[in-house]
Amino acid sequence: MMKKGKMASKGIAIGNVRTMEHKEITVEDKQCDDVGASLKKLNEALEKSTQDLEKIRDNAEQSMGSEHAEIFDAHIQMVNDPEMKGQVEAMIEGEKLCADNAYNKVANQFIDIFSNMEDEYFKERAADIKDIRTRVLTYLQGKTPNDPSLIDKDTIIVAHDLTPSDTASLNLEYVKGFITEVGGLTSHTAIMARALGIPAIVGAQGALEDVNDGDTLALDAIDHNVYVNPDDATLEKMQDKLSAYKTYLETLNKFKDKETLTKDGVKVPLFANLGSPKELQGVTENGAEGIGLFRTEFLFMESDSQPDEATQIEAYKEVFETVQPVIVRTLDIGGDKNIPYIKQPKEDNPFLGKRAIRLCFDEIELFKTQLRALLIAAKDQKNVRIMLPMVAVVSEVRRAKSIVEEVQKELDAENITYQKNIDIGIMIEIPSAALNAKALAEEVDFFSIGSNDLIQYLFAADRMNEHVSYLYEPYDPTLLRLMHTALEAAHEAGIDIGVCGEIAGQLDLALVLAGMGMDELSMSPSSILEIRKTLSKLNSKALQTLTKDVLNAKEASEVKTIIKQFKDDNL
Amino acid sequence: MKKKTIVITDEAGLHARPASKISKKASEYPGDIKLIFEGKEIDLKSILAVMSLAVPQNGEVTLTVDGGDEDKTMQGLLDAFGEQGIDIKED
Repeated sequence: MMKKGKMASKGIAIGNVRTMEHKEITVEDKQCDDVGASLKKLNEALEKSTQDLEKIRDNAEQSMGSEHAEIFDAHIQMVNDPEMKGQVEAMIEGEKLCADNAYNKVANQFIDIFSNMEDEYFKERAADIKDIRTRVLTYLQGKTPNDPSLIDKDTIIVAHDLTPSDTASLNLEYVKGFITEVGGLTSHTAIMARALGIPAIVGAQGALEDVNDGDTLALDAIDHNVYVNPDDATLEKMQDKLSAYKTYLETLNKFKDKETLTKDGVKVPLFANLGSPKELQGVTENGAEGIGLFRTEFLFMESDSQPDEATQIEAYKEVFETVQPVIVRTLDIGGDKNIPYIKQPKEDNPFLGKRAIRLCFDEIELFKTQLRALLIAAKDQKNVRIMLPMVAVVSEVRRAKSIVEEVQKELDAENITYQKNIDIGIMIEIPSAALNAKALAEEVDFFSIGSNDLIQYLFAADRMNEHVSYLYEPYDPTLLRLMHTALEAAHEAGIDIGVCGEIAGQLDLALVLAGMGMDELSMSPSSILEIRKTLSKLNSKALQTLTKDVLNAKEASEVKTIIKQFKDDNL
Repeated sequence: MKKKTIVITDEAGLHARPASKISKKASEYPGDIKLIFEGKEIDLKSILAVMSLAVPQNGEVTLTVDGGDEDKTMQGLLDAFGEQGIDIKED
C-alpha cells in the first residue's frame, strides 16, 4: 500500500500491525445436549470478559481519567447482568441451545429493545450491548478477542475508521501509528493523531486487505511510504530514518521557548488549538504563544446531562490559568456533532442546519449558562476572549452581544464578580461573513478564520466525502483571496484577525498566511515548532511577495508551484 | 417485604448513567429487589432490565425489598437516587 491515502500526522513509526475491524461474528442456530458443559462455558466466558473489561477500564482511567472509564464499568455490569444471564441459562437448560447461540439470542433481544427506543441516548446503549456481545461470543466460541486496548508492545493500528470511543479504548503508550481506510485531514483520527503527535495516514482505501495482525509495518509519514513486512535492508533504513527524525525533533525543541519571529524580526504569533484541558500538556510542550481556538464541546459531549455552571467554570479556569491569551469558542454542536440531552430535529442537511450559534439561540439557557461560566472563570484574566461560531449575518452578532449584556446584568444583580472587559469576536467560516467583513468588523473586537468550514461552504463540498475531495482544496486562490478580503476589512477597522483552521498548521499555507499579515496562526500544537523554525529563516518582505503572487494565481496547482519555487529559492 | 412508591421528577427521567449506579448499589444488598413501572416488574440488580424500562420524567415507580435488612436496603436505595442527582418525590 505504498502511496495510499493522505499523510495526516507527520512522523515515522515501526511496529506490529493490529487491525481494528468490526467483524460480525457468525453464530449457528445449534443445540448442545451437554447442558452442564454449556453452562460452564458461559460462566468462563463471562468471567474472562469481565477480567478484560476491568483491564480496559483501568487503562482508560490512567490515560484519560475516570470519566472515560465509567462506560466500561457499565459494560462490566452488563456482562454480569443477572436478568440477561438468567435468560441465557434458561435457554441452555430448556431448549438445549449451545451457549453461544443462547447468548446471541438474548443479547439480540436487548439490542432490539434499545434500538427501538425513542430516546437517542438509550438507542446508543444498543451499541454497548453489541460491544459486550462480540467479546462474550468470541470467548464462547473458544477464541480470544482481538483487543487493541490490551496491546503491550509497539503497535500500528490499521482500521477502516476510528471512532472517538475506539480511540478512548486504546493504550496510547504502545500505539506508534495509525492507518485508516477512510477520512481526510480533518477527520477525528487525523486531528487526534496530530494532537498526540502520533504519525498517521488516513483515507488509505483497502488498507485492511494489505495487512494481517502481527505483520511488521514501517510507516513513513514524511515521504509517504508504508512497508508491510519489509526486508532487513528496508527495516534498517527505516530505523535510521526514525532516529534521524527524533534528532530533528530535538533540534526543533530549541525553538520551544522562543517567540516566533521572521529573520528580520517581524512577529508571527503561533497559537495552539485545544480540544480539552487534557491537551494542555501538548500546548506547553510545543511552546504555543497562546490558544487561538479553545473548543468547548468536550464538556458537553462527555457528559449525560448539561454540565452545570460550577463544572464549566472549573474546566475553563484550568485552561485560562495555564496559557494566555486564550480565544474560547462558544458551543459549536449540530452538524456532525450531537449531544444526547439536546433534542435536535432530523435535518436533511445538518451542516446547513441548526448548528453552533443558531442552536444556541434556540437553547438560550444552555448558551447563557456557558456565557456566565466563561465570564466568571475569566474574572481575573485580561487575555480571555470569547468567540462566536458560525456567524452568517450582522443581526446574529447583535443578538449574541445583547445576550452577553443580559448575562452581565444578571451577574451584577447577583453581586457576582466577573470579567467586565471581555473581547467578543467571531469565527469567519461562512462565505457571507467573509464577504461582509467590513460591516461585521464594526460590531466585534476580533476575527478568526475557521478554514475547515469556510472551504466546505465556499466550494459546496462536504469535507468528509471522499468523492468530492478534489474540491476540498485549501490551496485554491479563491479561498486565499476571500481570507484576504476579511483581513483587509479587519485591519481597516483596527481589529485583529487570525486563522484557526487546519490550514494554519500546514507549513506551505502558514507561510502565505504570515505573508498576508495575519495577527496569529492557531494550529495543532505539533505543527508549531517546525513553522517557527522555518519562519526564522525567512524575511517578511519575501513572504509578502509570496502572498501577492499567490493571490494572483488562477488555480490551486499554480499556487502550489509558486510556493514550491519560493521554498526552493529561500530555504 | 418493604414497599415504597416514588415519582422520578428528574427532567431526564431515570437515565442510563445513574440507572447503572443505582443498579450497582442494589447488587450490594442480599435481598430480592424489584422495581415496578407501568405493571412491569423487573430485578433492580439488572442494569439492562432497569434501562429497558426507560422511565420518563414523572414516571411513578414502586420499589420492593424482600429479604436481608429491608429497612437498611430501602434507605440505601433511596439515598442512591439522591446521590445520583435523580430528583424523586416520595408518595
